[in-house]
Amino acid sequence: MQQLPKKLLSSFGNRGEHYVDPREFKKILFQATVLPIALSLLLSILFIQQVYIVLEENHKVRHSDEVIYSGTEAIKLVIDSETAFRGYVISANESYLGPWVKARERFYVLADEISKLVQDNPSQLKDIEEVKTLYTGWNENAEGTLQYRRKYGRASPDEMIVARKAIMDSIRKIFDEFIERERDLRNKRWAEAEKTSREAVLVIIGLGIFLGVALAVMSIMQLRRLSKNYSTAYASLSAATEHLEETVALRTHELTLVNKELEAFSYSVSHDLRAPLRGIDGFSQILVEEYSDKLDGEAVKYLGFIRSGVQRMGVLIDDLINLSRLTRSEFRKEDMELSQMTLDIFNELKQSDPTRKVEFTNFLPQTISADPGLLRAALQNLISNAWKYTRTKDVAVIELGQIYKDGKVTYYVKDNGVGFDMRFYEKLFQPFQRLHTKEQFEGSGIGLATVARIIRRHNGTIWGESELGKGSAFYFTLGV
Amino acid sequence: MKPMPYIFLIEDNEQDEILTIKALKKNKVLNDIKVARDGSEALDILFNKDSEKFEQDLPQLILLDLKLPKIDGLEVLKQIRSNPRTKLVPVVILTTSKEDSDLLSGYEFGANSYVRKPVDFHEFSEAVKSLGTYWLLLNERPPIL
Repeated sequence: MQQLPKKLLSSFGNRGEHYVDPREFKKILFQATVLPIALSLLLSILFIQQVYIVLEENHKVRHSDEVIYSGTEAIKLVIDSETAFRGYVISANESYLGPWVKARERFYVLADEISKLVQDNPSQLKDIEEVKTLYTGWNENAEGTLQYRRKYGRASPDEMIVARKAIMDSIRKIFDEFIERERDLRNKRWAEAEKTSREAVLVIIGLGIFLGVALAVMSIMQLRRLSKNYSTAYASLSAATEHLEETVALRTHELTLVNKELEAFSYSVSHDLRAPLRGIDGFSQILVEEYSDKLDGEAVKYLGFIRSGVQRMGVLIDDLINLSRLTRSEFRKEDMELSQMTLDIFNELKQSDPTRKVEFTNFLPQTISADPGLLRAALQNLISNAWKYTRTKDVAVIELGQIYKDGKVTYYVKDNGVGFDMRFYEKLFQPFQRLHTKEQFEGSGIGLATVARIIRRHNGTIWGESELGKGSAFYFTLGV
Repeated sequence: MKPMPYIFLIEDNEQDEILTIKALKKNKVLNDIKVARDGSEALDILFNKDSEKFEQDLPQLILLDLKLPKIDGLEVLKQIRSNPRTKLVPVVILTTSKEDSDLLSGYEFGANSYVRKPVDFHEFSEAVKSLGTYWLLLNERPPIL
């Protein structure tokens, strides 16, 4: 029976080559957590990058818009200048000159701003610088016209007007081209931005799908691997369980057979071994009673020896049968009177020898859960032993009670008797082992073996402590 | 005058037979004692009219051992109890066994008493004496016997 668990364990171990390695499981768990996180991070970074690219393109479009707007404003100012100056030329009213000067001032500020905006575009920069120069030329022309008018009081010569018109036409033309080019640029950039946005969206969606699928595939693979491992482990476990069940069934059957054999054996022991004993004892007695005239004293004495030997053997057989019965009888646990029972046992002993002085103390609980028949037999043995081995004391002291030891309720029976030698402790609970001679103390050496067996049937433990001449103490627990 | 009713001892062990008879005589039981050595012989004496061993009169008391050759004691008891002629005869099981199962089936099949034979002849003799006193003197038998 002892071999059984080991055998099972090893058979499980052999089959369990595919069982789930905790390290591998950790690895899978790590992969299943860290990989998605890493991939999500990567996806986020790509997403942000795409967003930045789109933003950059949008920024460029906005930049072109700004250039177009400023260019339009600038040409408006040029036109304002021309309109105001023309007003003056037609009406000779100098009040028209104010808006011209104002427009001129604003133009230069605006033109500088545009120059800054198109700094990175040389052709546009060149155009705006040219416009600036042309406009300055136009203004010089206008100043000249103004001076002429003031000086001579009449309109300037035609060539000046023609020149001014030519300059203005150039400015318009260049500006138109400038704006047209910037518009083209803007449209190109807009298209670029649109394309980039579309691409970004596609990239993000594509990557997302790809990563999702990749993770799903990976998870499926890992789950498959795990489930394969687990089903292998489960298969070997259920095989082992089945094996265990089979073995248990087999052992139970064997045990039942052995138990039956034991029963038959003890039956025949009780019946067949005792019968001849009765014959020996009976006929020895008849010899003593009916043939005393033919027997001398020695013969009668020997017949006495025969009889006491036979009777002792009868007791041994009975004890043996009782001991075997303890293991065979059905175990039934119920609430039982403990304190009163021990008192009854003690009173019976007291009646058997009323002359003895015995101090009996009982601290046991009133009720307890145990097999009443078995526990009574155990206490009967323990108390009888205490009674027996205190016989040499003037005042015997027997104490029963309970303590808590290692968190367990522990019952004890103590006495101040002769005690036993702890060197022979191993023999204490063995059947037919005695630590005192028959002449000192009677008994078959079955008592403590019986007690130990009863305690074991209660899933409890029993142990004893003693010092020679000072008494002994027996402790036991009753497992639940 | 009707002959003194006899005691029927069913016992396979010769020594036990002698000891039982000695114990009975020692305790002044004067009844005849008839002995059967196995279950089959016992049934012949009680029931088998064709057998030369057949006894017309019923015993006053049957002392029955359980472990018997051929037909065992419990089977003999069963037949005694199931036969209208013998069903009221007092049967005392006198055996070495004190197995619970034997005790239970003994009473179940209608034994009137169950006595375990002690090893000590003194005690055995005392037990037989008590049996004799009780069943032959104290106890009133059913009127039909």
